[in-house]
Amino acid sequence: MWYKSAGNDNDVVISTRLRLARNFKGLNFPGKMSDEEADSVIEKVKNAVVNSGTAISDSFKYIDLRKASNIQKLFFLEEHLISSEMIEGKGPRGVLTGYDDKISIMINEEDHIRMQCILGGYDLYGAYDIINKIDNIIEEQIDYAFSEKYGYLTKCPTNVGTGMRASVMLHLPGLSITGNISNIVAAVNKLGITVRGLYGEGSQAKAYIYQVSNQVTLGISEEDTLSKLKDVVDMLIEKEREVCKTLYENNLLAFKDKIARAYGVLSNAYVMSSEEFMNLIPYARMGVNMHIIDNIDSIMLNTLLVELQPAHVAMQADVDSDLRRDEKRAEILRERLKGRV
Amino acid sequence: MLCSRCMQREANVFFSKNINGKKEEYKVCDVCAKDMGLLSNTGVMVSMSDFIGQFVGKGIGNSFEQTFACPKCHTTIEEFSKTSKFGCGECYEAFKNELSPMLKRIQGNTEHMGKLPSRAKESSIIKKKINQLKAKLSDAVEKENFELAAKLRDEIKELSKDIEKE
Repeated sequence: MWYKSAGNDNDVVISTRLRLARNFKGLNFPGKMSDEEADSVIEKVKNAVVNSGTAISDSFKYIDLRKASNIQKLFFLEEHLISSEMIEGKGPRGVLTGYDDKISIMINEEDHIRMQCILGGYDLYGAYDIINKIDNIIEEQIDYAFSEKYGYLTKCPTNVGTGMRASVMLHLPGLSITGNISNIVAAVNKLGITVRGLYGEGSQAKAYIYQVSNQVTLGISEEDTLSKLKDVVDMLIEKEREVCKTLYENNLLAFKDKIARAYGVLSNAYVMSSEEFMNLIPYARMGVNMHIIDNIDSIMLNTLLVELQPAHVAMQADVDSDLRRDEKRAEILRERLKGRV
Repeated sequence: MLCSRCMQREANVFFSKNINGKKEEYKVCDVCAKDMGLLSNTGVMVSMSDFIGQFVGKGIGNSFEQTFACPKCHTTIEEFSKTSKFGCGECYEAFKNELSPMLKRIQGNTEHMGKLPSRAKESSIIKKKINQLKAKLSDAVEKENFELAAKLRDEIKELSKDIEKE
């Protein structure tokens, strides 16, 4: 699980994701092909990965999304193993996951293949190295749709070229609470970098969590894309730390009080909705980073952010009512944050 | 589906016209479409009023729809302009006139500079190298590093020769 390992700069960076979009040569894209063709795409990708004879090929398992329940699909979405498009999609489709769920290969999403590597913390080049290797492994067996002029061909022209989307998930409570974030987002957009909410396109920034990713995929190499994105993310990390430091120094008592109250509710409540949790977690993050809260660490916060989402709680507690789920969420929090039992 | 006019080539221009309540449908290839004045020589759709002028005169109550489609997956131009999604790799060629301004807008570029598949032709690999050197060259010129620029220019010349040989 990507969120269970410490990563670089994990006081601000939750995760780093690298995604490559690829398609089969000579075959219509998903949505324009028959179920038989879609099935054959699945078989070929599975074979290319599982029979590759590499060190990690044994770790992969295939999940057929046509057979998965709604709650299972939501669970995979919350783990960032699949996209929301895969949940709503029709026809034969699924996902191969491996390497301790750090690699997921979505088959018949918008493109035939969407392969992703997700790592905890900040590691753009590490994630690229891994996914590039997977790309090379698959390419040994499969002829990709590629044009000398346009690069890797994708269903949507916003992905054509490298087919690469590099995305860093950042927790920016300081910049958000102080209202600095909107100016930064506007400035960053001009550099060809997109800032979005937690679950990608069109989603709201919940709990002040943002995904920062490259917009351009054509006319720029993978290396240049990564270094451009890195410059922006480096800057965001530094600004977030600066703002938190200033908040802490100027406003010590009020700041401490706000954080302690938030933590008090998180660690002692008996009913906790997902919304309330998302509203309080930014204060817990600042508390941990400023050493006001010292009995938990960043890995715990990142784990909670994943494991307290609705489908995760429902899977653990085997419950489907909202109230039971909110009780379960509060129970997990009391236990993990060592509050009232 | 074969062109209803020449019965030889694949039909990829679909249109129907409605003259005083009578609907006629046409499915023709792009060569015939050009012959009929539906497509200009560059493949761009002739405007509706021009087309009506040529075809049916100025009759009142006449209307028609016309559609350009990808010869492989039959994705139509309406479909593409509505969803911005292609149906297959061939669409990139079929809709290249529409694609070019769109790519400039969303990507700012129209040529791939990144990774090549390992099965790529030798010439593509050299071309990629030339493009990278050209980028370095303009950077060197900008920084007035003429010694480096001259060296890069020679390298580009050498590589270009290799492509010609192929």
